[in-house]
Amino acid sequence: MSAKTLRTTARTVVIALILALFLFPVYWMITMAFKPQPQWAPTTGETYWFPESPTFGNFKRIFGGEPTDESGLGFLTSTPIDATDSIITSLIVAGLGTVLALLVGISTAYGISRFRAGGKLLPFAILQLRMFPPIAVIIPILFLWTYLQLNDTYWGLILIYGAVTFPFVVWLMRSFFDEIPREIAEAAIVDGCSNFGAFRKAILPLVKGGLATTALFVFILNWSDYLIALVLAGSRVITAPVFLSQIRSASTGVEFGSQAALALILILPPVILAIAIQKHLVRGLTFGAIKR
Amino acid sequence: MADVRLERITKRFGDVVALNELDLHIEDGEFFCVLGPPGAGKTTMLRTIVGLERPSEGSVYVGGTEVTDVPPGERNVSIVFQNLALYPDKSVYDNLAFPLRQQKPRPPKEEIDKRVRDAAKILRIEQLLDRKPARLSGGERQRVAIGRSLVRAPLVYLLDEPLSALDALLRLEMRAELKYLQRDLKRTLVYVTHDQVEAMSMSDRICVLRAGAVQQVAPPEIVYNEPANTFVGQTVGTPPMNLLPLRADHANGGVELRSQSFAIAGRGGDALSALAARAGQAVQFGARAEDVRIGQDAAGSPLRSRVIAVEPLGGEVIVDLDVDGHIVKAMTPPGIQIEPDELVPLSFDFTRVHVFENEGSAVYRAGGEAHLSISAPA
Ligand SMILES: Nc1ncnc2c1ncn2[C@@H]1O[C@H](COP(=O)(O)OP(=O)(O)OP(=O)(O)O)[C@@H](O)[C@H]1O
Ligand SMILES: [Mg+2]
Repeated sequence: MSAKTLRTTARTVVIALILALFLFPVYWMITMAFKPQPQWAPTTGETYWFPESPTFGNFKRIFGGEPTDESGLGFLTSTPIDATDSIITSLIVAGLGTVLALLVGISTAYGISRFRAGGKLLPFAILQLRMFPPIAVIIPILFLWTYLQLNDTYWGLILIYGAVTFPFVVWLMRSFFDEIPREIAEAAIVDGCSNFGAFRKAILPLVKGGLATTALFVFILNWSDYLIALVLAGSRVITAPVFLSQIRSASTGVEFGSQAALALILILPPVILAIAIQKHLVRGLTFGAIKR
Repeated sequence: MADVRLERITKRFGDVVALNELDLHIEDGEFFCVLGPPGAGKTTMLRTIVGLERPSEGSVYVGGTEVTDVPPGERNVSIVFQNLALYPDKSVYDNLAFPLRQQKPRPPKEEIDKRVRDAAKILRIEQLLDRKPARLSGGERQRVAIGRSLVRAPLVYLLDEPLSALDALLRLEMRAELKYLQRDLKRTLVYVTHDQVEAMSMSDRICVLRAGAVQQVAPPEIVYNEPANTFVGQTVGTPPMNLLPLRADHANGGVELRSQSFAIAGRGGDALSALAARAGQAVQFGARAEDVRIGQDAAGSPLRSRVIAVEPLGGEVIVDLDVDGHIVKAMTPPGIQIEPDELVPLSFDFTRVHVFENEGSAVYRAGGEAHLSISAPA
């Protein structure tokens, strides 16, 4: 084997390994979701790499269906569960949190980019918000939220999601705004627009792609949050990831099959969104990346 | 119909003084060119007129009304930016319609349509109305940008180096078109350029700007023939005006300007008194290339200069000569027989020369009874 083919082969192997590393959990989740109970909770100690006699039982189970006890291991002793409410809760808090982050973040980004609002300090102060590990500040925020009576409420989660993802919006959108020559907004102003009119009619249409990308990115962050929803809510307001973590039964402990089924459902909204805005997405990921 | 008046306008950006106590009156219906090197403050001046910059000091008037604090959209002034700034996501049609759609009250659809099509017709871009700016050529984009400033029929048009992005041939064509367009519109038009040929060929008056200060405001032929200072002399005209540092002195009843190998003597006339007043000082003697005489035309001149280079330009020949260590460019008719290193007699057309004081302002212009002539050094 020549050195060149050796190198190519080595590279292929490395890529395949990395891919496997990332894709195996996905594969495991998808297959798990369709495995009947004895295969995801094998009492025999056997590993099922592929579901034998795949079933929708796990899906039925998380939407209140009668758990099918194919094993006779006492699955039936669990009380029925229903993830519908938690999914709706997640949609509401992640969705509105994203809207909030976008509203505040886009205005901030435009102010910084176009009017140098806040000088040099503000952009970095905002970026710095992201440098805290959430765990470091979540307890003080819990006190604050309790004091404000936002604990375990929809608004509490929406506010915190908006606040946590707002720096992303600012930094992403700012780079898109920076790409636009200031004369375009100025032309609109000379043409008779107000500052806001120029933003809405001349600038916003130019950053549609960037906006779609940012929105998706932020939505995924909010949608997949577990830590914040667990600490700041979790008794009355239960998001889907928190709900997922609590699926367990008296007999088998953690119900991996049902969890996998719910996880599979939970990755659907981001995927559907991504497909819906795909046209803008491709452009958004490249537009804004290059600094002239 | 409106004139534009700038009264003692100063604009500072931090420590940078972009405009320095600018006083300017642009008359109604005039094609007014602002000429100056990069950084002179040309763009800042236009932005101040349209209202995108607020002057640090001074006032702006459009049509006799003070507009210093009136927002840009209400000044009825349009601007074509240096980089055009078309709306990239909108079709040519929507680009043109945009200013009309912002008007309050908004004109009816049919009227907008009519005005967009009229403007497109004038600029010959009717066939491009459905295209996006990205799919236009440079010249077409130019027209769209001009069209966008045209549709709403403002009182004053401002154009910031609108032709600088075009290739030479297209520039020439657009230059003529713009000139005719302004003549038809009979509106005030302020045109910024750093290309003196453009300024000379298009404008009713030229304003030469340098470091935020007005150097001269005059019709092109005056700016060319009677530059207010050395800067104007060197900015307007190709090649730039020749300048020779000389020393002024009294000499038997007149004035003499001396160099190493020649002198220029002045006799008679009041015009010389300004020169005489500078006796003992350094001055700059200015002559345009076409006013430098060499060879047979300068026969009898005591000054001999060495030819450094010969540049045939087709229509004429530029000859570079060494005069006491300074380069003097002479414009001669084609077919002149001359070789580098040759020593040729050199003189000037003394009916068209200038003398500037050392700081740059003109102190003497040819004309009247005063007369200069070249002589051997004293
Ligand atoms: N927004 C600004 N902030 C800081 N300095 C500025 C700003 N705008 C202009 N200047 C400065 O003001 C001076 C004049 O700039 P201006 O753009 O008016 O020059 P110009 O004559 O249009 O030049 P060019 O021929 O390069 O377009 C320059 O020194 C420039 O750096
Ligand atoms: Mg400029």
